Amino acid sequence: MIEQLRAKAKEILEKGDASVIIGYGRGSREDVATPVFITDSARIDEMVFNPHCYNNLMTFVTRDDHKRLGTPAVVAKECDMKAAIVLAQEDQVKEDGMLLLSVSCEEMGRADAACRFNGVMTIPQAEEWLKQNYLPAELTPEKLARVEEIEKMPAQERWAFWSKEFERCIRCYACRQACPMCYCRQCIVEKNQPQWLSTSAHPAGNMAWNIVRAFHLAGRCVDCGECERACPMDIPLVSLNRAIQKEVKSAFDYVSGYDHAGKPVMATFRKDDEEDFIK
Amino acid sequence: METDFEPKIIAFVCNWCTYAGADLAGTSRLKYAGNVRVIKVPCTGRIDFMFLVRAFEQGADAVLVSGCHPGDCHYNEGNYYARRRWTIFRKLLHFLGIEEDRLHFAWVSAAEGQKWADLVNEVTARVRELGPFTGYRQLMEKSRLTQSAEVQPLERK
Ligand code: SF4
Ligand code: SF4
Ligand code: FES
Repeated sequence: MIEQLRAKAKEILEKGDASVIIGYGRGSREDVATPVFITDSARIDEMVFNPHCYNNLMTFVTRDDHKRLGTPAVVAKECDMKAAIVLAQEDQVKEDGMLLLSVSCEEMGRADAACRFNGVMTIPQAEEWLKQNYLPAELTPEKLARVEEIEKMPAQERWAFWSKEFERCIRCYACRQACPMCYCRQCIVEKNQPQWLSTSAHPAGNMAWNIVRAFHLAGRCVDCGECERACPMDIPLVSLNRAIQKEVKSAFDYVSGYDHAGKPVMATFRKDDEEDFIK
Repeated sequence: METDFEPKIIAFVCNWCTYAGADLAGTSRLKYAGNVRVIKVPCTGRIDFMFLVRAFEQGADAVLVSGCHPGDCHYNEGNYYARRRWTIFRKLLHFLGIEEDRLHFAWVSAAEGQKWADLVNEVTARVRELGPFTGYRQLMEKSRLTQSAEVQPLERK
């Protein structure tokens, strides 16, 4: 499949449909891959794709230093495609502002897993493809198993559980850096006029930070899991994200990453939204 | 449970409806629990969820958010956006282990002085039953410890 992927990428560059390929290259070890930015088709053989290509490359398309490289064609797994769709939905990229080199991997991390190249897609095409091929894999019982386990704990036990998890946070913000949806030029945690949350890595500051990170992604997180994978302290951020995804789905029947032309779910309303919790 | 516990409740209310409603309760000389500290904001749409986090950090045992009834918002739509936000935010806090009775939401119009008084009484009674929010207090106390000279080494699981 890599030959197909390289051939398409080369063609795109040579035809001028995109001016940079954002893809994966060989990492420093067998089991890691590293992002590559290719503007010259002679370098196309640097591209690889395998079950170790974890990074969500959509983190790059909103950064100024990469924007300067011009229209990108980005190698994208399913979650990365969803990220592109949310970026278009939130006006961070134009609907026709990038091409997607759609790829799939049977099981990330398993060295012998089969990988596929699905073709070149625009953002609207990717949306159609995902609706056909990936929507049924969202919020499955397996994906929600851990969330439900945590929900079953009594409130105080849950509080103790999360306090303990967040206590380990060292405020490195790797979770934010790895996240394709965290594209703010200045994050609220770095604003000090006024300072909303403490930047010290103490239990209260960490609680506030983790609430902010999770809630700023409400209805936007595409469940790529990169935050948790980046976290050096192994804090179960995916469970937190999925708990919110579950609520967004049940309250507003919405899964993020499938509506590039619609309004973001938390930036709109319906007059008849449920309000049984309001007195 | 400590018997002399007086819940500290922070209420974020909009200027146009609930604040006026609370004012009416006052001018009508209604008697109700004195446990609520009112913070007036222009509209419920202006209430960032960080306000709530900050209230808990500062020692609130519960938070009450109230504004105009749907359709009555002075800015037409602020409360509709707010409602969506709270729908999810309260679930997040619940998932983190904050008891549901520490977060209350209501619509109180400028004419509903009595509703405001009853609401405050009800919320106060529920929080009194729940007891002080020791969970957050412990977090704050622990933080002061780590901030002091004796930095606690954090252990990896
Ligand atoms: S919050 Fe985590 S799982 Fe969600 S989009 Fe960001 S990196 Fe991916
Ligand atoms: S990556 Fe982990 S340790 Fe670093 S700031 Fe995020 S939650 Fe905290
Ligand atoms: S002005 Fe009262 S809720 Fe908007």
